[in-house]
Amino acid sequence: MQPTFSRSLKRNLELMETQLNLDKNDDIVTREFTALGRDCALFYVEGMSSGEQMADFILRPLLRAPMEASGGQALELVTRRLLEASEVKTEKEPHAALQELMRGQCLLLVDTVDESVLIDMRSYVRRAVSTPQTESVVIGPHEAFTEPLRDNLTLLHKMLPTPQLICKVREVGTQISTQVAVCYLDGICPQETLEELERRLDGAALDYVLTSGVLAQLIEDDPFAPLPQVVSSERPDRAVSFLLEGQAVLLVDGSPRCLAMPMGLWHLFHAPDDTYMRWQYGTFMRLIRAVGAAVALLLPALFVSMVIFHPISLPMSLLTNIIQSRSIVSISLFGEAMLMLAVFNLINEAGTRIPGLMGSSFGLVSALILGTAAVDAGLVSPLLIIVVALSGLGGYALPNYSLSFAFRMGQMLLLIAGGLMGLPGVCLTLLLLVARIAGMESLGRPYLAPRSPARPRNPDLLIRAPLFRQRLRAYLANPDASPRAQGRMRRLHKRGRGE
Amino acid sequence: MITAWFRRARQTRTPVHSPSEAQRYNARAMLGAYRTLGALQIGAQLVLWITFYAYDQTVQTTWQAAVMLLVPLAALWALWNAGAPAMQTRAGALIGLALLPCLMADAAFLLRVIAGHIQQLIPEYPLRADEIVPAALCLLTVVFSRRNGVAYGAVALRWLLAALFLLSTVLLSANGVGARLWPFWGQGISKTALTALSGAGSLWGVGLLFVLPPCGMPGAPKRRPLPGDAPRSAFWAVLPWLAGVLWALWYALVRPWQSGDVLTIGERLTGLARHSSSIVLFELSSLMWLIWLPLALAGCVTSGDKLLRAALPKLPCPVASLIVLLPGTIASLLWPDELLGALRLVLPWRAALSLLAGVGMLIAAKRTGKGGSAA
Repeated sequence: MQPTFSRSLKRNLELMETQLNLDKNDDIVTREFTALGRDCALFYVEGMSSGEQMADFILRPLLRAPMEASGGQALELVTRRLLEASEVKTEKEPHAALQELMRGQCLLLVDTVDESVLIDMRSYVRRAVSTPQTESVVIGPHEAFTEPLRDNLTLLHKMLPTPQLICKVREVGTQISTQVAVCYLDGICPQETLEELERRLDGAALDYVLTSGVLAQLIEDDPFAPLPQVVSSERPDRAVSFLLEGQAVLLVDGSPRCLAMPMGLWHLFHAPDDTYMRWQYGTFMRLIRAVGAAVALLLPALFVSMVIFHPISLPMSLLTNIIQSRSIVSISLFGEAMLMLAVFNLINEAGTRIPGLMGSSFGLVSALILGTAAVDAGLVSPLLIIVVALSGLGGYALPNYSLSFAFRMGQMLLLIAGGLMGLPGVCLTLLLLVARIAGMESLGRPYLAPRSPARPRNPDLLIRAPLFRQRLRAYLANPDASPRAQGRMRRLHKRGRGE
Repeated sequence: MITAWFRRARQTRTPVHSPSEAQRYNARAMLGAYRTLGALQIGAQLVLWITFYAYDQTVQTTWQAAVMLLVPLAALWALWNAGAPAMQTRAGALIGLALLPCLMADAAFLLRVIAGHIQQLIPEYPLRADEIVPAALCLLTVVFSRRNGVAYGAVALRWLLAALFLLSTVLLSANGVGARLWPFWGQGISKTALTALSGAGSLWGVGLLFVLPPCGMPGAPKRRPLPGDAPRSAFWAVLPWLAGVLWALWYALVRPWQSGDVLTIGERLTGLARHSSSIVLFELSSLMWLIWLPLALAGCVTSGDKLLRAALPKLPCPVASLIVLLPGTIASLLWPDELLGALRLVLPWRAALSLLAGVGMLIAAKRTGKGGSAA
């Protein structure tokens, strides 16, 4: 492709014909006309620009302009005096201009002018801001990100009306570019975080980055790690909390989820409600979640290992119940547990894929029918169904979708270890997982920080202390940044003192 | 004024106000993590020495022997503290390799005990699998934990281990009889002192508190010792000693078995817990060993890996880890019954090796200091 546009409209039209495959592509509309005494051509993608606005604010002013001009003078007239649009810019490089055209902008070429004029008249169909699908809360905002990047940036600006909020839009993708906005709070996000993030985005060498999930896999520290190193959320309020903590937030055009880096394990356990509710309730919910996580990960493995290898350790009444309930089961406890977990995951996956109206009842019916039938057929014992159900509930208590998957996989691994080697197998495998997770990093920051290794922190990991004790920025923030509150946070007036 | 102090005390503070302070803080935190791991390793060796060797010799004066260990502990700490500046030099990295035989001996001891404990929990399990599986999982743990996973994992698990340790001892107080501590010197002062001398080998790990993490590792402190470091390193040296004294004291109070009784490894490990009336305490004690001992083993392997790669940077991590783990694994597989008896003769010499390495560090540190002042 030629490096710049030509002054000849004819040559530019030939270029556009070749690059846009105009002989095959019916989506690109070309409107040729005469304005300022010169031949002009307007290109746009059908359906992405508003025809009415183009007619009112591009065509009418140009067609009615009485003067004649060429070259730089014509460009000056068009961009600064005639076009009635809020965003008008010029572009010399055909490649960049074509990319903007394919994103919905209108492209104007004028004979004797060696630059294109890009006018923003975008008006394509977009989904309205809706409630979050995977991160619902009881108390708090109910807005979620949508697909267009501009709409998501608007949601952020609405929640953080400060010039400190910097949104740098750049492109990723080696052949088809996708716009990605790197958002951060100036002075709060450390410079090394931004530099490292830019370096990783530069190194993402895929032809087309479809969604934020794909981008996350390209920029994370360790693709073989058991847990995600990039936290994603569909909530603007969560994105704002990430920004306030000193993290950088990435918004990908076409994806309704933001990414935040760096992160730690604790980000996966926190839900937005925790901060919106009083500290006692937030702490209580987090403890419930922690118990749920432990149950999800360990209950099936511990049950199987204790019953098979260490039955003496169980209370006699429980052991008797287990033996009685298993008296009709024809397969081993280990096989039974693996079968039940596999069926549970199958029901889960099927329930997610099934169309909306049937989905909610499907899970209930299949679980009940399969469970009852399996017990009657002597394939599983009722006690194991309870164990698997409890561990499933524990998994659903986790607020992060990726974390629940990681726990399901860890659950299977520990079950295998427990089924083969009892409690020692569970403990050794757990130690391996703990060391593996402790050694993980996110953008170079230790994954278990600020607990291990220690970092200065607010008392807001598992126990959520009262808000007035959370004066510090997170350890991820720029150390030069001021704390979130200077002095006392609750400066309530005392009654009856000269008021 | 008191309420004002209380209000100020409630405010969350940070010692970090600039990027350089943050760097220093982070380096100290990494040092703290490795010292936690080192303390767990020292504690494990001390407690196992008491369980397998000391108690049979001294019975009710085991705790006095543990108290006497404060002398060699202080000596080793003072020597390594004085030699710490050598860690910044190439000579220091090479001298650190002298600690490798100690790590190998520790690994052999720990692996044999872990296998014995598994054998007791699951008698029908094949003996070879009881050695191979923990060794393999330990190797995978070190290799997959990347740079600092084992040390940071130790920090994450330390409170759990502390709680289990206290439960395994203090909650048995109902079974302890104070009269069992008398006669005060039991088998005699000389026998107690001799037993203490053999136990000094368990304290060789004080050197690890100074050599890890190596100065060249990303994020590690660039110079040693850090300002105000002496009390911190002393704390991490004294803490496992205190745990050993507590353990020995409870052994003396409860008298889990008679001297001369022939017991398996698993019976020795759970000897104290067997005297509790609650099966829960017994299980908690088993759980403590199942977490502590493999963590200490992983600590040995990762320490050896760090020391080897500080001296030989091109050595891959799995190879370095195997160098530490393999001798003990082979010995445990080939001579499972004779290994503990052989280790009884070998383990006390760890202190001598640590002493020699400490002296080497001190000489290297003095030379570094002279070279620095000459410049």
